[in-house]
Amino acid sequence: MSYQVKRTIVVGFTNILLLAAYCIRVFGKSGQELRFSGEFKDWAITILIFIGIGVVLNILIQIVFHIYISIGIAIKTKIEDESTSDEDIEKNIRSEIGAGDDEMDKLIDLKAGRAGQIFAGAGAIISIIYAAIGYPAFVMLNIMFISFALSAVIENVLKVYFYRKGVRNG
Amino acid sequence: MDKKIEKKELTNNIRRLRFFADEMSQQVLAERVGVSRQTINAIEAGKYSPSLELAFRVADVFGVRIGDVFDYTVKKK
Repeated sequence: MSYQVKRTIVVGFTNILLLAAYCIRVFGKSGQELRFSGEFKDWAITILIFIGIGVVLNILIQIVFHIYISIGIAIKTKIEDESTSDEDIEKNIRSEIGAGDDEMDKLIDLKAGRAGQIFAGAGAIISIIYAAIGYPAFVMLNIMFISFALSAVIENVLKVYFYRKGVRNG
Repeated sequence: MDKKIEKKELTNNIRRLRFFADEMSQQVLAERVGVSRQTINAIEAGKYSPSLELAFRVADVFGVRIGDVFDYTVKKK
């Protein structure tokens, strides 16, 4: 399994955890007050907090994952051959992790991202439809947030699929 | 006018060319063309069709023409 696939799985798993945390916070016992008040401002603040947590968590997870994988490769290289120099270890890490996204990574990002955007867009339209037929504003906000969070999960699932099955131009 | 379009696929000889280039590793080839080893692996396995520029760079590394690296042939059933 390549570094990119592992990273995508970890980020996807983080997104699932975040969505689960949001659902527990909002639809669980702790969200009773929020649900009954139906105050638009309170919902907006809750969602903004979760967006902030999501952004910070994604950055942190990626940094920690990068360090963890680098240490793992260094240990593995040293175990296989104790005389390996630091330069060779560095070379091994670079070979596994890569020096950044290349054209295949960009194409996969593009294709998976487009599918995610379509899903998020559909969620936004559905949320507006709900508002138009008279549902309270917090329903609209929730549908929008959940569809955006799910679109991120779908994007990551598709990325893993493309990395494993392959991707073509066009 | 009613000619049926044949399904074609992109195949490559990178594995063979690497063998004849002193068993060049995927990593070395990747470094020389500026992509990751995973991308070279995906191209070799037919999972990814490279851009024209990358295809030319691969051909350049082996000192051959692009047609000697990549083939566009009728898909085998």
